[in-house]
Amino acid sequence: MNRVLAFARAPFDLLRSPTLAGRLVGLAAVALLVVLTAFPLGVLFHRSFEREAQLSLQNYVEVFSAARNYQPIWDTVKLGLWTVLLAAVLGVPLAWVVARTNMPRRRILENLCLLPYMLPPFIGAMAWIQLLAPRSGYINQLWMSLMGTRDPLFNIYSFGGMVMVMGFYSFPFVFIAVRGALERMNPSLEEAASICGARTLRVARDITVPLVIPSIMAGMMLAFLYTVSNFGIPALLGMRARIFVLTTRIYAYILRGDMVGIQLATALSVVLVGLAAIILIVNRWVISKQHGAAIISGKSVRPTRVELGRWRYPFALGVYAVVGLMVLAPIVALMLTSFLRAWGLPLRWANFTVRNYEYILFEFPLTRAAIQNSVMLALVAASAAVVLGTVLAYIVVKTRTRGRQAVDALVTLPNAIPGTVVALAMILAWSGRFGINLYNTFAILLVAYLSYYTFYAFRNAAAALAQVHPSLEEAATISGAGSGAVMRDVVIPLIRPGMLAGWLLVFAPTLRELTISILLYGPYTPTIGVAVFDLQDAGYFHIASALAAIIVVVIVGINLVMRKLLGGRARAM
Amino acid sequence: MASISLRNVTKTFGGNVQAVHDMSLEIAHGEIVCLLGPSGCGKTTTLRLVAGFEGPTAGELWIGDRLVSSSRTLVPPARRNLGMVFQDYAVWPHKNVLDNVGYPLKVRKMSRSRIRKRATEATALVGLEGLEKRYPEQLSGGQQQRVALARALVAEPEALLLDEPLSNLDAKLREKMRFEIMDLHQRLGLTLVYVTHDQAEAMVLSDWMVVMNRGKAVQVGTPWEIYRSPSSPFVADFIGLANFLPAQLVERNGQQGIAEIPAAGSQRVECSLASEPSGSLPVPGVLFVRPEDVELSSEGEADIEGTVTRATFLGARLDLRVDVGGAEWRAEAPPGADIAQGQAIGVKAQRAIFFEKEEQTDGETADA
Ligand SMILES: Nc1ncnc2c1ncn2[C@@H]1O[C@H](COP(=O)(O)OP(=O)(O)O)[C@@H](O)[C@H]1O
Ligand SMILES: [Mg+2]
Repeated sequence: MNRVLAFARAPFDLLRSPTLAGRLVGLAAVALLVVLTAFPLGVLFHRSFEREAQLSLQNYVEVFSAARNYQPIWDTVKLGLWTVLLAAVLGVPLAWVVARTNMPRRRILENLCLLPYMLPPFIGAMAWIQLLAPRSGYINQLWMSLMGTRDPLFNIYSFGGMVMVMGFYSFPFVFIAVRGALERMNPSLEEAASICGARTLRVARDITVPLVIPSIMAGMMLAFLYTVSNFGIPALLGMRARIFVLTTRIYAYILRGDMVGIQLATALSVVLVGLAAIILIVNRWVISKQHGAAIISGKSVRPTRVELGRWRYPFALGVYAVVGLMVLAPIVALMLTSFLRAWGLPLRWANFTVRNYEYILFEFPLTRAAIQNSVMLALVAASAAVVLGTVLAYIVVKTRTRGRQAVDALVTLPNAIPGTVVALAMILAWSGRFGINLYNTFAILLVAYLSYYTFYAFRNAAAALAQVHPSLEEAATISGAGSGAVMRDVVIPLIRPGMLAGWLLVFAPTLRELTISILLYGPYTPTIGVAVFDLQDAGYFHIASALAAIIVVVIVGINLVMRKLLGGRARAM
Repeated sequence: MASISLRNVTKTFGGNVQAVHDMSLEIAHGEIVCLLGPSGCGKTTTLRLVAGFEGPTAGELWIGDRLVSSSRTLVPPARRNLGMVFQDYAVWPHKNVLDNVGYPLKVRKMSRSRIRKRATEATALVGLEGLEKRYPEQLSGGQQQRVALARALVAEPEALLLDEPLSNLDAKLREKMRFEIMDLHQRLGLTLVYVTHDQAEAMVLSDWMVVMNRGKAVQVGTPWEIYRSPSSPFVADFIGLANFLPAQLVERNGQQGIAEIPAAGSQRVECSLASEPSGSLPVPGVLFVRPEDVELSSEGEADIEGTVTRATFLGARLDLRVDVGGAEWRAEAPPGADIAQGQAIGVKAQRAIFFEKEEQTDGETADA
């Protein structure tokens, strides 16, 4: 409530900016933020308590009384918990291997572990379908012919399949958090234990593990939020098995298109946001109970590494086999399928072709329109997000505007909310009820992307601005530069790398966005994500794969550029 | 309690960084020995070799009558029964004071009640009674240091190793802790190996000390011996203040001789020789004189005179810089002495050591 009050003061403070341009730009940015985010989310919340234009709890009553509504809540939690468990089982040991052993080629392993982080999970789901679809998946086929059986090894269209793929795509959160903690932990903490008489395993149990637990939990929490917000994996793997989670249930209700469906979707959305909020709060509480959670930070040290001795190479082989299967096998499957004449044909030289690529790039109207649209959307969204994000970051970091923390919170908020919910908020706010109808247009996609992704541009600009010492601006002012000139000649040049990184961080995910687009695209505005999803769902695996393969290559390329730009500090999306 | 013996220990990192070179030390039961030297000279590495965190590239290390390290054997730190205090305390942030202090006993599978009793005693020993339930984040740096000390003592180790334990504390506290450590040592009769780069600390604490430079022990002796009779210009310069006056050895009589200081009107000074002169007289070199060994006299009373270029009041004494024929001498006078800048003053080197020329270029001078 305090934040809301403080936020209401922001316009007055911005009006006191020394220049007219400063006032206008500042006010416009904050106004835009309100229109993009606060208003639609407010509408969503309000509408969840509305039935036939009356304030009512009916939506929630129906949500918690019908199994088709509350079962997805339970399944979402279950999927989240199992996934997080798998993510920890994969992420913690891999982080340990990279940070604390002398296994050969650790940098390669590290990059492999970060790869799933940049790829969209729905493309991962597609690829795993190609490996483990019950009859036709490559691995299942191999299994059946090797074993001479007609029972597949594993059916990917199942709860277990969802957990597996979701785990493979969320373990990097745990990996990154734990690797950082293990690398920065002061080695003398562990040495102190061994001089006290504790042997290796005892040191790990008494010192290392307890000190890393807050990081493990932070990583698991991110993985949990990522999982419950995800749409692509449960949509491609779960719906066919009639397993619904919150995101896919909301999607199904919206597709139904009637009023009650929208109302229930709205209430479910609030439940989903509530679930995420509970996790955040519980996590914060648990971490606050841990002593020394903040101790691991700052300077990097020379960690003591476990010498694997003669087990070095066998160990490496095992680790690479697991990670290779997990990370590379699906990409290889995707690439192979993209060159097949048709899905299901045996992998023989005669069946390979580049026709699929020609088809999607030059012939098929859907994919051509999708590519055009997505490229356009990504370009405009990234550029607009950088402008908006930089202005807002300037207000938050460099001015004393009251309510600037609220601005910060409001930019960050949509990113903590599942894309499905953001999309629904856009539908509710911008389909005519308030005099503006953007439904089925390019604009509604753009507005939604901006609401959701401006955060990345904001965060990078803010980090860069925080590095610009006030005296640099003051020095320009004292030299006689006006505030425009200070911006142009001093501030912008100094934060340009941060802005560019922010641009790429918005461009890359919007280029292949699925979760929001699938609810907002219109007949003339398909996006790449939607096209891949629909083609895959309709069984045109080979065509979907070609488009997905292009996306994978482009995104990996963007990430390499970004890493150059930020000197290894960049963490891809 | 045990002796510690290093026998020709060498440690090389990555094939070319020689952190410790051919170090031999015999530390008897109950002694306090300081390893002193500039940063990067290999003090920490020596201590880590004793602790067993590093294995020697060559040489042997014995604790009591047990061979614990050689190029072939390495008893792990956990089985050496040593206590160690790390420079950054290394107090575990997730354990409270009592659990930190009691950990060595817990690892030794002592019963809970005995752990409690002994940990409480150790906590009291370092003056932390009443803070047993606190977590490190609720303690000051000095208190964390005491926790580290109690933890290192609690299991009655064979020896206590301390790596610059006081360097993160402020000057007052450092002084206080210094005496507390001495006090503990006297009460418990521990063998203590203490690393520091602070010469004053080493002087106060040591039974004897090792001055290190570039991985080598350049001089071993009591603080008094090292202060009065440094074996090289490096040691002379590292410990205390020193004048190095270019001089020639003109007469020699066994370990004694007479040197002339050309810049000071060829003043003849009796001196002792740091080593056998290699050539025939006169031998070029430097004369080392402590500031307190420069005898001052009023104008006209001494053969040699200089001009006071700076007189700085330092509390307990007056620090003087005197220009003598173009060379700067440092000297000192009682704080109340009536000496002003620009005044002429007589100087005489009372006690000096002669170092031959080569030695000075050979021994790197340190910025103390
Ligand atoms: N683990 C290591 N790997 C490589 N070089 C090291 C390592 N530990 C110490 N050194 C090097 O050995 C030398 C002595 O280091 P150290 O014993 O820490 O010095 P001190 O404690 O006297 O400051 C330094 O040059 C240091 O860089
Ligand atoms: Mg050191």
